[in-house]
Amino acid sequence: MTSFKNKLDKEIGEAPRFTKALQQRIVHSADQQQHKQSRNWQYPTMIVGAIVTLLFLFIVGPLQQTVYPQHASIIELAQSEEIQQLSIASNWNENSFKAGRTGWVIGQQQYGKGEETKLIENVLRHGVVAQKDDYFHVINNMWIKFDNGQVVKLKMYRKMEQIAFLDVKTNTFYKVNDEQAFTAFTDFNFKEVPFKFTAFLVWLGVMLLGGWVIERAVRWKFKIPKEPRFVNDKHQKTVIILKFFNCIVLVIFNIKTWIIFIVADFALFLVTMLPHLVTEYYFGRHEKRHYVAVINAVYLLIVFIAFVIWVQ
Amino acid sequence: MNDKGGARLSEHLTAIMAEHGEYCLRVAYLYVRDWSIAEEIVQDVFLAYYLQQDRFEQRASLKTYLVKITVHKSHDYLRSWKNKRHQLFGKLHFGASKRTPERDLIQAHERVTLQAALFELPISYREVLILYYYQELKVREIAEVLGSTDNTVKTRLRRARQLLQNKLEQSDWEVLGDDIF
Repeated sequence: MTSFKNKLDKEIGEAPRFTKALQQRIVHSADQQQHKQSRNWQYPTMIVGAIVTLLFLFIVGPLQQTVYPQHASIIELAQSEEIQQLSIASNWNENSFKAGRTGWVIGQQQYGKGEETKLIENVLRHGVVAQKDDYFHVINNMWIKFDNGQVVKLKMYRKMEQIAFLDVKTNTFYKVNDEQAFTAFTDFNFKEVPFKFTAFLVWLGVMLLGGWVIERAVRWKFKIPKEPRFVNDKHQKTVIILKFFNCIVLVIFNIKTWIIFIVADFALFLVTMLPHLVTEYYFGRHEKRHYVAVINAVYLLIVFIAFVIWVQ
Repeated sequence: MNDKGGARLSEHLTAIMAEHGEYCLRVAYLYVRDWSIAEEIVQDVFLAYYLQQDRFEQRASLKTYLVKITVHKSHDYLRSWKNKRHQLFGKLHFGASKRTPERDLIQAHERVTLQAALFELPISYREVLILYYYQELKVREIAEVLGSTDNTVKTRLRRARQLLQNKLEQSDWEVLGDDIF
């Protein structure tokens, strides 16, 4: 072995190359670097970007505050204006409301101007203010946007041969006494796409398999060890606390039924992923473990977007 | 206090460089074949070590740790656009120069030197030879530095020796000896 080293040293020159000048240059650079510690700008930028995006979505979306001319009643509104957008969500629960702005809620039927909107206009025009009795049961929730920009939220009720609706904002109950309107409504097929459980299972399986393959590929490419799972005790404690926190957030979102709102889901995604990314970056950067977290986050974001497009 | 701490760190760094600087520089050179770039790499290596000393967990020797950083920095350079540009301009430059009998003779002589033969090998084979024969690291240590398995290192060493044998004359070849890894 030494003969190889000797011969190579002779060929590349035996005189020391690591000079005092080079040493001093390194020490000088080290002194300067110590005073301006490098800032890892990628992660703060990503977090700030995500928060700004979220705020932007809130501003342009559900929190959009526009003052529209208010009509005295839904009936008056339906008589003077046409429905521009309509979304319907099945919901038998009196205490919750599951329909919302088109494109913002998962699992609702959405319609533009057409037969569906005409039908609902017809139903609304034949409504009369009435007292609600206990025989009516709620069947679905409707979010309606009229041509003048006014938005109303209605709960649709049914009792034998009668339908009714409740204006959520004013808590005014309307009965539809017109038989023709009732028949037209019940006979109409709302083109509801039935939920395909098998397709959902296949989708879930492909998603999980994709996640597993991607993680394996990243670990293989960057030689990131799977074991030990945690870099140290602090890492383990932080991950456990985060998981606990995530579970609580998930439960709150379910209880409050925010889970059906796409923006809320995106917020949930951020609340879950950002601390995870930061933790993995802080503890696992040395072993490139944060690459797995970053790729997983990107993959989940793509899956989330695909899921939203699928359920729309 | 900070100045004192800084001075102590600088002293520590100077001592580390005095002990390990030369071989890190030579390892970097054997990767990139350019002394000025090797100096830049070594500068980066010691700066990285200085700024993130807490990451050195003393699981391996400091020598292995510094060699590992040097290897990674050298790989970074070899992958960089700077290197690709450098190589491209190098080729263009030599392509433009005239061939003369003297130049041919010099190049023929250069081809048989150990250094020239070594630089003709692909980097994955060259590096195991450098680390094993020049840095005198053990197979296990090389595997740790390169982030691969012992068997991979052994296989690469065997193939690298075969490739080098084809390029060297018998007298030069003997420098590798008959090692069993």
